[in-house]
Amino acid sequence: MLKKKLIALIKSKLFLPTALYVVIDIVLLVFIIFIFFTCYDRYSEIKSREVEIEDLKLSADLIKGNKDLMQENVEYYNELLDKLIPHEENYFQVISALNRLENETGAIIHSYSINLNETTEKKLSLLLTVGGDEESIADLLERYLYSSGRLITNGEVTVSFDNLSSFSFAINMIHIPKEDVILPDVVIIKEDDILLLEKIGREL
Amino acid sequence: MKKRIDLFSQRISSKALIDYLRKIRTYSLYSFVGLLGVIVILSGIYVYFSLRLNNLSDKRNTYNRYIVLNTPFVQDLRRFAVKFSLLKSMLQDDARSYTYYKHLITIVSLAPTNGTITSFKIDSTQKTEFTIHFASYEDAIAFIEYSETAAFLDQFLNISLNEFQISGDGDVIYELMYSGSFIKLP
Repeated sequence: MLKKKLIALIKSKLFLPTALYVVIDIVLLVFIIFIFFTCYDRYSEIKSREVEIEDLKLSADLIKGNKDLMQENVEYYNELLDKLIPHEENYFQVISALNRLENETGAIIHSYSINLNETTEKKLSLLLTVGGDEESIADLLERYLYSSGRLITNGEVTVSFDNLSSFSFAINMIHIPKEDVILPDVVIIKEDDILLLEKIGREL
Repeated sequence: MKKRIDLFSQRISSKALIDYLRKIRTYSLYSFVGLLGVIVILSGIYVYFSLRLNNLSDKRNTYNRYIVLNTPFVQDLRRFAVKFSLLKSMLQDDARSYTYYKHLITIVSLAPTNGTITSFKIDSTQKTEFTIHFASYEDAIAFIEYSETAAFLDQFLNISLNEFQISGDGDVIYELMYSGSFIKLP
């Protein structure tokens, strides 16, 4: 009986279009699910691409900003910095720098001793005994940073103006071995930095 | 109560079956139209996403090309940054003796008396010791009074008069010895 009814149902002229609609609906539904997931994939890809582009844009902007500031002078600045902070340190370089400091300022370096407490692997700390006339001492105190051809910083100075023939002047010199140079990922150069380097360049 | 149709019931009538098929066909037709609408909308979204993705790909390629083109510059820049940061940190630790000496001269020159700086000591933490000498007792006392005013005290984090020394046989000199710390100058 059931079989007969089913056969009658199938043979009904309404069955075929109805079944066709149902099948088409199912196909469309599957298609919609497919498109939905494809769209979702695209959306996820867009989001991750936007993040990637944001990072790239930041890098590109940094490069552009730094390039504009440096005006293609980065090699000159690196040469300048290599002079100020060499990769190697040896006795002759130190003596040469001290000689140049004397010649440039007119001050006389009577003696020097190594301050072992302050000296590290990369920093050489020396205690100088310096003398000279008022003008040369003033010149030394004003220009010691770069006039030796490399960076010399002053840790401490004790001057007695009654006796300028001998006073103590503590200096620091640094170097950084090439293998110790850890390059940073992000570099932001400011206008003041360039002005400082230009000033140093003029003083060297 | 709503009458339920059971396709497999033997009691189902042909008319009910036809009605049921009609309903399915009608609903399927509506669904077809609705689903087509959804497909059109989703296709639009897909096209928009694809265009946006292409656009982003172009942008990414442009940025990548720019970065690759500038790789040598970036390498130089990173090398620069290492040494420049070292330079700056070293400068931070510099005593800047000349700057502070000039600063002290200015501070002393603002006093109502003429004093001469005879010794000066400073280190990288701006800790200082200095001696000022005066030709008369009154000048030295006037300077001590000045050193208690804000004009003098505001230049130091802390400052104290360590010694008031009177020396010399014929020409007596009066020396004030101070020690303390300067306020860090910019």
